[in-house]
Amino acid sequence: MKNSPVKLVGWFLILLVGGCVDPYRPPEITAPDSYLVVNGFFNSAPGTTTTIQLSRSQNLADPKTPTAETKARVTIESAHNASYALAEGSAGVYSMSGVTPLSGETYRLHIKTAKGLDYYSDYVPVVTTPPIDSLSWRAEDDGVQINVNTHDPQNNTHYYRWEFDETWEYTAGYNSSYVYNDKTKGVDLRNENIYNCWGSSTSKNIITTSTTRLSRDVVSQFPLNTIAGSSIKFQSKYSILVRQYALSQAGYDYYDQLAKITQNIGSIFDPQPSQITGNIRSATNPTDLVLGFFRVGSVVTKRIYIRKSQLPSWRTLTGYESCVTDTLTLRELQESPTGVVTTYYPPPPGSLQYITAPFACIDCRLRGGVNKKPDFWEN
Amino acid sequence: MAQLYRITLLLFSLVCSIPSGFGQTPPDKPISGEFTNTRFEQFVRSVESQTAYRFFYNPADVDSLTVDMRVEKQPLKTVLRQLFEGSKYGFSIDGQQRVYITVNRLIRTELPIGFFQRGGTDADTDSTGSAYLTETQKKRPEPEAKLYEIGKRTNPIRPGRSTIAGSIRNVASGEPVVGAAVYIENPRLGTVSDQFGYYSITLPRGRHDLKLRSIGMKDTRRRIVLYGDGKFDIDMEDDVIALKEVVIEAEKDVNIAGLQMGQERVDIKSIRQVPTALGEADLLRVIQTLPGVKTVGESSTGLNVRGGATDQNLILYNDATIYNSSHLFGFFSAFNPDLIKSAELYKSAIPSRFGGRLSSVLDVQTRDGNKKKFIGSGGIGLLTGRLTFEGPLIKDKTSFIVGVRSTYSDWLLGQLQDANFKKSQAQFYDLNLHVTHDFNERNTVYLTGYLSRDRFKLGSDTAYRYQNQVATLKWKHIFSNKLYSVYTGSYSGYNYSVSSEKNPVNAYKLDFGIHQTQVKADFNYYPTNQHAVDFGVSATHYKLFPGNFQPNGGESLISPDVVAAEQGLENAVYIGDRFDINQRLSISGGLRYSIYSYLGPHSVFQYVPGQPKTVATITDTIAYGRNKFINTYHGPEYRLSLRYALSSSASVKASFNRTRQYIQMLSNTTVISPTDIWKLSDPNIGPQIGDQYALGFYKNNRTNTVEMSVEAYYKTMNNLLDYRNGASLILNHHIETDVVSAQGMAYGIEFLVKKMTGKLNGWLSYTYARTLLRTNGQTGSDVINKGEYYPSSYDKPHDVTMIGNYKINRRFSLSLNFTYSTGRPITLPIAKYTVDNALRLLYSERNQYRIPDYYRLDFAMNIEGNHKVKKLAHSSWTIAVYNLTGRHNAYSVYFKSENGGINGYQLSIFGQPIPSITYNFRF
Repeated sequence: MKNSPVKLVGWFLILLVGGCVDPYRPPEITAPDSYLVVNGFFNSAPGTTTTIQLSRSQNLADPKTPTAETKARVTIESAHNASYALAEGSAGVYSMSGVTPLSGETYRLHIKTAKGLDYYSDYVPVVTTPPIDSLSWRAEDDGVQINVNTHDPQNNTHYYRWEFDETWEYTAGYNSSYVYNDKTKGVDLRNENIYNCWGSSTSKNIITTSTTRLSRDVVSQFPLNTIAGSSIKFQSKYSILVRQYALSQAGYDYYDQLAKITQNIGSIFDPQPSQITGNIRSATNPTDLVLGFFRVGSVVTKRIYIRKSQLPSWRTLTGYESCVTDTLTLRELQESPTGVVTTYYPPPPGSLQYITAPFACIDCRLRGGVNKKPDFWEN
Repeated sequence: MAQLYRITLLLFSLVCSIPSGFGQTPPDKPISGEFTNTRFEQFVRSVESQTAYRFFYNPADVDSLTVDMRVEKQPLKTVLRQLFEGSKYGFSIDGQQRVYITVNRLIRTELPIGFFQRGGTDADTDSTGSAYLTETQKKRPEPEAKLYEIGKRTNPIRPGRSTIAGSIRNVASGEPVVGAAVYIENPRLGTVSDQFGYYSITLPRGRHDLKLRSIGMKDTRRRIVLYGDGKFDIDMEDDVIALKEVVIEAEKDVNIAGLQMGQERVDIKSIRQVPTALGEADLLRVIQTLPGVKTVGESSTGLNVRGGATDQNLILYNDATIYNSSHLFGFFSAFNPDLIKSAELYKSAIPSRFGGRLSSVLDVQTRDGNKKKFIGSGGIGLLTGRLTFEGPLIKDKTSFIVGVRSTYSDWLLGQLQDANFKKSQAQFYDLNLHVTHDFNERNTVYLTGYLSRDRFKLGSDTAYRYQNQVATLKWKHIFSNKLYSVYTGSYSGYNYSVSSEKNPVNAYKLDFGIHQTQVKADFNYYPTNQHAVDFGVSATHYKLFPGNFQPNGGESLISPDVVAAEQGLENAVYIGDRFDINQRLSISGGLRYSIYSYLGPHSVFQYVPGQPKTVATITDTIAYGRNKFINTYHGPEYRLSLRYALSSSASVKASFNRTRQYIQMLSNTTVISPTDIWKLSDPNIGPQIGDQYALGFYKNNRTNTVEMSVEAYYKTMNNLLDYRNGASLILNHHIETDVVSAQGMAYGIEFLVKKMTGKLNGWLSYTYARTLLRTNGQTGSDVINKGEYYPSSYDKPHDVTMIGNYKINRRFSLSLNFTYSTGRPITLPIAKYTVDNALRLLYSERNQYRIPDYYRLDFAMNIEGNHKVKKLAHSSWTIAVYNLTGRHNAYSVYFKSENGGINGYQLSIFGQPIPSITYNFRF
C-alpha cells in the first residue's frame, strides 16, 4: 500500500464532493385531489393503432396500481373540426385504428370524463420522425456505451426523444437434462429447455436531446444506455431496440423539465423542483391539473445485436457463481427433491447416482427471463 | 515580551522593598486662613506665601474650582484632603514640597514623583500612588507617562475647541489600527479610527487624558495638553497574549455608545477560533454564525442577510466588489485568512457611502504589510496550503504583503486508482498583493490586486472554470485635521466558462463575464466634535457578457450563440452627517441618490402591456445604438439612525434605510453555483428596492464584559425576481420571459449575548426570522402559489448559535460551537403518476414543506507554540472536528425516478465527523 495516507486523504476529498446519501421518507402528504393522467399519442404512421390511456394520479404511499379513468368520451379533433372518437377497450385504454393525420393540420385531444368534466389539449402539429441512421456502441472502461445517430436532411426536427427495449440471452448455472418426477418417484428426461432464457427490460428514463444549438440537424453519438461489462446481459448475446420520436418544441420542453426534476438530480447544484404539467388543461377549473402530454407523430425503430465474442474478455457475473452440485442417490433425491443436472455412474458398474443442483441454479426463468425465444431474435 | 514582564516585575518588587523613611519630608508647617468663595489660584497664592510649598497645576483644570473653608493651623495635607474630598481632583506632595494638583487620577510626568515619600509615610492617604504602581505593571510607562503638547503653546490656554487628528498604528508593524476608539471621559467625547487608522477629534482646549481601545491591542492612553489644532500619531501595542483575545468585538462599549446598529465586526483572531470543516480559517463561515445571517446549505458560502438573497450582499475586498466569493464548490471562501485584517458586516443602517446592494455590506479589509521588517507566514491543511510574505520596500514608508493559497486536491485525485477519479480535477488558487506607500504625512497610496481561479471537472466530461480579478488603487489625501479625502479606482472582473470536449461533434465552450469599473471620491469632514460629515460621488460602469456559446474544435457542429452584451452606468452622490446632539442622543442622517442608465448597443423587446411576458407577447424589438441611454432609473436612498443612551450601559437605537440594486444574480438553484448569471436592470426588469426598519436595545454589564442586545427588523423588498416553473436561464435572449417579478417581506428578532473577555468567551444568539415572497403578476405563469406569500428558499425561522471558547492556559484553548436551525423550505411531491413507462411526481406548490432541522456541534483545539521571542519560526496547530456527532444533516431532499419506481433521498454534505489538522507558521 504505497502512498496509502495520501490515498486516504484523496478518498476523503471524494467523500466531500460526493456527500452522503440516505433514503428519505417524506411526511405523509396527501394531494388535495387526484388528477387525470394522460398517456399516449396520435400515431401518424399509416395503418397503426392510436392508443390513449387514462388513469388517475395517486398519493405517494399508495401501493395499488393506478385507478383507470373509465367511461370517458375521448376524441381527437382537428383544427378544421374533424373529429375522431376512440373506443374504450380494457378499462381506461381508448384506441382507434385507420385514421391517419394530415400533415400540416393540427389536432387536439378532447376528454369528457364520466363525471362530465371537459379537458382539452392544445392544438399540436404532426411531427414526423426521421429514421435512425445507426446505433453504434463502443467498449470503454468497464462497459459498453450504446449511442444513437440520426439526422434530419430538412433541418427542421431539432427535438428528439428515445425509448429502448433491451433483450439478452443467458443461461442458467447448470443445464438440467433430467427432472425428478414426484408422482412416479423417478427421474425423467426433461423435455423443456430451462437452460436458455431471454431477459428483457425497457428504458425508464426520459432521454431527450435537441440540436437547436447545432448548425445542422444532426445527432451524433448520443449516449442512450451504458451497460457494465460484467453484466449478465453480455453473457452470450445482447440486443437493443431503440424507438425514436421527434418532438415539437413544447413537447421537448415538457420532457426536458420532467427529466430535470425527477432524474438528473441529487447534486449540490440542483434546480428547484416545480410543478410541471403538460399541454392538457381543464376547460373549467385551472387548479384541476392534467398530467401528461398529447402529441401527434410517428415513431421509428432500429435494433442491433452485440455478441459476447465482439467484446473484450470481460468476466460475466452471472449470479450463479455460488452454485454447487451435489451427488445424490435416488433415495436421497426422493427424500429432498431438487434439480437434477445429469446422471452419474460411479463404480461399481450398474450403480446410478444423480448430479443435482438447486432449482435456482438450473431454471433460468427464476431470473425473470422467458425460455421462449422472442420472435425477432436472430441466430 | 515575557522577559520584559519578568524584568519589570522584578524592578517593581525591588522598588517596593525599599525601606520606608527614605527621603522623608520636613515636618509640615501648618497653614491658616479664611477662604470664602476664593478662586483656587488665590488660595494657592495664600498658601505659598505662608509656607515653602509650591503648587503645580493646570489653570484650566481648576478654573471653576473655588475654596470655601476656614483653616486654623492645619497641615496642608489635611486641608487639601478636605477640600478635594468627593471631587475629581487629587493631589500629591513630593519631597521638595511641591504640590501637584491633578484631575481624576492622573499619571505623573516623571516616574515616581514623590513616590518614596508617600510610599513610606502615608500611602494610604493617596490613591494615586498605588494606582500608579498597578498601572505601570501592565503598561509600558514611556509614551503613556509623557505629556504631549499639541498646537502652538499659549499661556494661558485659550478657551474654545481644537481638533487633533492623526494615525493610529501598530507599533510593531506600522500597520494602521482600524476601528480603534479614541476618547476622553470628561466630558465624554470620542471617535473611532477609520479604515486607514485615521482619526480626528475635536476637544476643548486644555489638558486631557486621551484613551485608546481597540481589538487585539492593549488599551492605552496619552496625556495631552491641547493648545490648538494639531497632528498626533499614536502607536498601539499588540496584546501579546493572543489567546486572551476576545472572540468578537468592536470597541468594547460601542454597542452602547456607537450609533451604528446591525453592524458586526469580525477580526482575524476570532475567525481563526471558529472550527471549520476543512481546517482552514474561513471568514464567511464565521459571518454565517452571526445573528441575522443564514445560509441555505453547508457547502455554500452564500449569505442570506435578514431575508435577503445571496446576490443582495455587497462583498467588498479593499473596496472592490467580489462577485463569486467561493472556491471548490463553496467549501472554501475566496478570502485567504492570512491576508485579512478584519471584516465588517452591516445588516441595517447601512452608511450612505455604500450602495448598490439591497441587504448588506460586507467590507473585508486586508492587512497592510509590515513596515519595519520582513515576515513570512503560512499554513498547511488537509486540502490547502498557503504562504504569505510581507515587509517594507522603503522602511517606514512603503510596505507590501503578498499571499498565495492553493489546493493540492488535483494531486490527491491523481493518486486514486479509480479511473473515473483520475480523470477528475478540482483545483483552485488565489493570489493577493497589497502595497502601501506613504508619500508624506498627508498622502498615502494603496494598491491591491487579487486573482482567484477555480477549475473543476468531475468524471471526465464537462469542465468548469471561473475566476475573479480585482484591482484597486486608492489615494488618501489629508487636507487638514478636519477634512480628508479618499479617491478610489477599482476594477472587478468575474468570468466563468464551461466546456466539453468528449464528443467532438457536440464539443462546446460557454463563457460568461462581468466587468465592473468604478471611480469614487469620498470625503470626511469633522466641523465640530458634534458633527462627523461624510460625502462623496461615485460612478460605476458595468459591462456584462451574458453568454457566449461557441464550438470547441474543428469537428464541432455547434452553431455559435451569443447573447448580446449589456452595459450600464450607475452614478451616485451621497452625504451623511452624524450629529451628537448631547451625550444621550445622537442621530445620523444620510442621503444617497443613485442614477442608473441602461446603455446601448442593445435590442430591447417590447411586450403586450398587462400580459405575462412570453415569447408570444413580444410586440416589437427596438434597437439602440452604442452608448445610447436606453432607460434610466433613479431614486433617493435614505439612511437614518438614532441612538438614545438610557444610561452609560444601556441604549436604544432605531434606524431606517432604503437601498437600491441595479444588478441581480439569476439562479435556478438554491445555492450559488458557478454557472449563475448576472443581469443588469433593463426596461423589462426594474431595479430592486428595499426598505428596512430596525429597532434595537443594547445593554452591557458594568464592566462591559457581557453585552446583550435585541434587534428587531421589518423589511420590504420590491422587484425581486423569482422564476417561472421550469425556467431556463442560460443563453436566454429574453430572460424576462422566464422570470416573474415578486415582492418580499422579511421580519425577525435577534437576541445576542456576548462575553468577550475572560477564560470563557464567546456568544450565544437566537434569531426568529421569516422571509416571504409574493408574485406581483396577475395572470397565468406570472403567478406562483396563487399570488399568495410563500416562504423563500432560505426562510429558516428558528436559529440558535453558540460559539464558545475556553482557554486553559496561554498556549492551549478549546472551542465548541453549536448550531441549530429550522430546515429550509422545499417543494415536495404530493402525488405520483406514470407517464411513458416511468413513475413521475407531481410537486406541491413552491416551498410548502421543510427539510429536517439542522444541528451540528463542532470542536476545535488551538495549540500555540512556546512564547519565546527569538526562535526560528512561531507555529501553531489547530485540530478540529467538524460535525462532532456525525449527524446527517440534510442538505437537500430529492426524489428520483429509478427503475420505474420513486425513491426519496436526502443528501448530506458532511455526514460524518470531519477531523482536520492545520499547521500554521510565521517566521
